[in-house]
This record gives sequence, C-alpha cells and structure tokens, in this order.
Amino acid sequence: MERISELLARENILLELRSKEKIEVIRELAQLLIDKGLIDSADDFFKAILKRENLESTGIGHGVAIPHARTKSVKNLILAFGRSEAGIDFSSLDGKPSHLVFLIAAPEDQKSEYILTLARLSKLLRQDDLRNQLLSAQAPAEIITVISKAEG
Amino acid sequence: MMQRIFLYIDGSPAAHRAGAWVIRQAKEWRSRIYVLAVVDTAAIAAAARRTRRPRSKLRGEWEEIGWRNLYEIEDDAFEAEVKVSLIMEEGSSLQRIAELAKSYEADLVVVGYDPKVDLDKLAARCPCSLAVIK
Repeated sequence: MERISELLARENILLELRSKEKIEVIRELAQLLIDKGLIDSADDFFKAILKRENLESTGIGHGVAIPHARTKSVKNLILAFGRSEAGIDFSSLDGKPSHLVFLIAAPEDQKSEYILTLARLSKLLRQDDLRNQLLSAQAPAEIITVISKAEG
Repeated sequence: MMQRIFLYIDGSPAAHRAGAWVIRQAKEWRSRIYVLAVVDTAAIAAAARRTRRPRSKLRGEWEEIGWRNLYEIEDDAFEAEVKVSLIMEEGSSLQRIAELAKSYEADLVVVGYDPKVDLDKLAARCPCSLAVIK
C-alpha cells in the first residue's frame, strides 16, 4: 500500500479553504482532483460522497474530518487535503469543528486499500503533535513532510 | 424503539457476526449505529510483557486494526443505507462500553460473544439492554 505522504500531491493541498460549510468544502477539495483529470464524472463522484455524508459523520473528532467514498468515477485511490482556520462543522461526535479535512476517493473494486488508507490516516491524525504541525505548516511541501515523518 | 444501537467491535468473528446482525436490525428499525473500538491499555501492557515489544508500537498497531474494523463496519452500513457513527477510544473495554453507551443514550448495546469477557459485569454496568451475538 502506498504511504499517505506519497498519495498526497502538493497541488492537491489547500492551506486555507475558502468554503465555510461542509458540502462546499468537499466541492472545493474535489475540484482540485477534477481539474487534474483524476475524476471521470464530477456528478457521480459528488453523489457518492454526499450520499455518505448524509448517512454518517465523517468528522472523526479532534478537529479532523475525512470525507470519503468508493466510486466508479475514479481509477486510482486519490487524496486531497484542506485546512480551515475557522473550522468547518462536520457533525463530529465531539461537537468540535474540523480544521483539517482529508478527502479520499477510491475505485469501487479497491476496498482493501481504501479501508487501509482510511485506517492509517485516522490513526495518524489522533496524534496531537501531528495535528499541531499540520495546523502550523507554511507550505504544501511541509504538509507532506510532516505526514511522511509521522508515518515513519 | 431502538433508535440508537451501540455496537462494540474487536475484530473477532463473533464481533463481525454481531455487526452484520446490528446492520440488519438497524435497517429494519431505522436506527443509528454507534460503532466502538477500544485500544485496551491493559491488554497492550500484557502483550508488551509477553512479546517484549514496545507498548507504543503495539498501541499503534492495535489502533490501526481498530480503525480498520470500524471502517469495515461503516462500509457495510453504508451499503445497507444505515446511519453510522464511528468511535475510537482507549482504556478498559468494559468500562468504555458502559460509559459511552450512557453518554450517547444507547437503547441497545450489542457485543460479540467472548468467553473471556465477564458478561455479568458488563450487563450490570450497561445503562440499557444488552445483546450478545455468538
């Protein structure tokens, strides 16, 4: 399985999200991937992501959200990251807004890699140090470096 | 009506069967499932002594396994169009199940059968009905 730091490209990182609301944040991050031609059908992709958002909270607490979906619209597992100083309401169980948002999409037939990536990312993001470094990083390259170091 | 079902998973076959049962019931009852995995600190300490591996390393491995179990159930719940929330905690499994079931006002707690678990103790601490799936 590829490392999270290898899956995340610099151009798919937004140090300050413009959007203030959950669905618009997801669209903003997805647009990065659409612009790179990584998503075949934007409509199908959004349907898959939003269907999941309607059924569950992808805010995992500690200021982190990981909206995700498996969909026919992508050929490979892809990742985008956005940061929000103000925080976005992702309906986390701890009631806190999300400042770090990772969008993950995987092909429908890559369930194992998808679950493993979600699990590894969730585990990493429970580390206070890592979250603090991500919050204070000054450049997309630094975001990737910080994650790479945390992965070991 | 069982609006909030609290499912504890530990990766065991019984927990997997419990998950399948909960998803079926939740679909029928239109319930939300709260799925809990616990990084059991006492179990990690015992494993560290037994294997002579650092606790921090074991903790990281067990937490990742816990998250995998959570996302497996989440994916199954999503396919069944059942509302689900994931919870990762640390500490004593029995204690966390009871505390969080109370905190989230669970109507039903479901666990997979484990002969090592003191079910009487769990039932006594549970704030609601308890179902054990074999």
